[in-house]
Amino acid sequence: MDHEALLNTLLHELKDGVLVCDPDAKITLFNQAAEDLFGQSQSFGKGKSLYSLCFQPPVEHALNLLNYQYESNNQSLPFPYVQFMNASRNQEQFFRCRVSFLPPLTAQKKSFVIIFEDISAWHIPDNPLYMKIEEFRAPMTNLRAAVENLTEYPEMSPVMHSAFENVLVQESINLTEAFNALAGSCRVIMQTQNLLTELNSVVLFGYVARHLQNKKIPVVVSPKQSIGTKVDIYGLLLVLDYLASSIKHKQKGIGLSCEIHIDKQFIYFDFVWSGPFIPPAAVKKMLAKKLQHSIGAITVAAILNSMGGDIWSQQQKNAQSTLRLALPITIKAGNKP
Amino acid sequence: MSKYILIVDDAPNIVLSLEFLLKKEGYDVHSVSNGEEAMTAIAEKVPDMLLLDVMMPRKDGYEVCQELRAHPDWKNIKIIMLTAKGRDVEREKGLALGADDYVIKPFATQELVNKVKTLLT
Repeated sequence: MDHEALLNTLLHELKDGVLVCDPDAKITLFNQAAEDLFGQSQSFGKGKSLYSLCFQPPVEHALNLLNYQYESNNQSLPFPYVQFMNASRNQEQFFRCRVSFLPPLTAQKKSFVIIFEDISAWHIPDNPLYMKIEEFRAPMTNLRAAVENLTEYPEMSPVMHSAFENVLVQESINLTEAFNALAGSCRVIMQTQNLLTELNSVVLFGYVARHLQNKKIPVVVSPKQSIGTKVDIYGLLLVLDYLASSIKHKQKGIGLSCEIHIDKQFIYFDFVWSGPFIPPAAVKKMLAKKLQHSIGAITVAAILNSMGGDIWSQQQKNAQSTLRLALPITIKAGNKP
Repeated sequence: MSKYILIVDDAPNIVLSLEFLLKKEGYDVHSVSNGEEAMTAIAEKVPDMLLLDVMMPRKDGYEVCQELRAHPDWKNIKIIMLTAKGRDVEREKGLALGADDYVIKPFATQELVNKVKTLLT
């Protein structure tokens, strides 16, 4: 079997859709699975634009990130591809995508290969399992407290005894319902976590800094510490852009800057300005904002939740204010109880 | 004179247990069910400590915490946040916004009582 025939066979056998594109994102080659995924679309075929099948910005950001890694001499880092979410133009199908460049990498404009895995069957953008886990905590606490009181203080009055017994009944029912909901959602979160791409913190910081500087926001990165992290790069940039524009809108004429730093547990993106801080109610509204260009039109909170992150605003002692976006360095399964 | 503890939680079953236990320990205990009621209760009588749930209707625990820390007469009230929000980043947020301790549900009541005793000593 010759080399080309072997490659064709391999491509044909893959269950994920594989598209090879030229530097202008025109399709030059595809496998059977890609035809199964997109073949019904009139925009699918050799010479047609990739962007008539899926959304352009997430792909472009992934390609820019790959290019940035190459230009930053980080070729030796073990991140040969970038993984991200995308959707069909009608938003009816969701995909886990992986993109990587094709040789020669030295070319000014590079061809690339993009792999589409259809995750529509299980993907729910708002990540419901996280909510289900939280629903366990309150009834477990109430149950445990009631049991502890009943056993530690058997001399309590009959009225209190009866009240605590009633708690046992109520909370047992609540726990059963919470467990059933959790069991039904378990599969979802395991797969959602896989939508994040692994990145070295130096690359992430540099890439985000360049992105913000292009938007005329001064950035200070300190110190340059190299740690692996997992992010949804497209979602993160959307959230940072939204936060920056919201602050500028609320605090007209201020000098906004961004400080990016890291500690033992978290990566911080701090927007800093002179003036009043953003009150908690306004931060809540920011979290609930549906981002128009996000995949599935999800909220800032949903994007942050997918990365285990959060935001909050604080007044500093030097009359400066901060809006902090914190992301964990690594996402631990189930998180700390 | 016994120390005054205000419990702020919208779940009556945990309030029942905490009130019972803290009263047994000799504390003066009062409870309210949301952040707005908490601010009213604090204005009437300043507590030594708040046991503060995070997720509540109208005004949540983070907002209450931030308002207390910004008020000169209330900034020294001890605050233990009690929450079903169990991610590391939320603990970081609670402590950053001024909580003295952050206890994730489910917790052992005796552990909580020990934290209360330590902070009020």
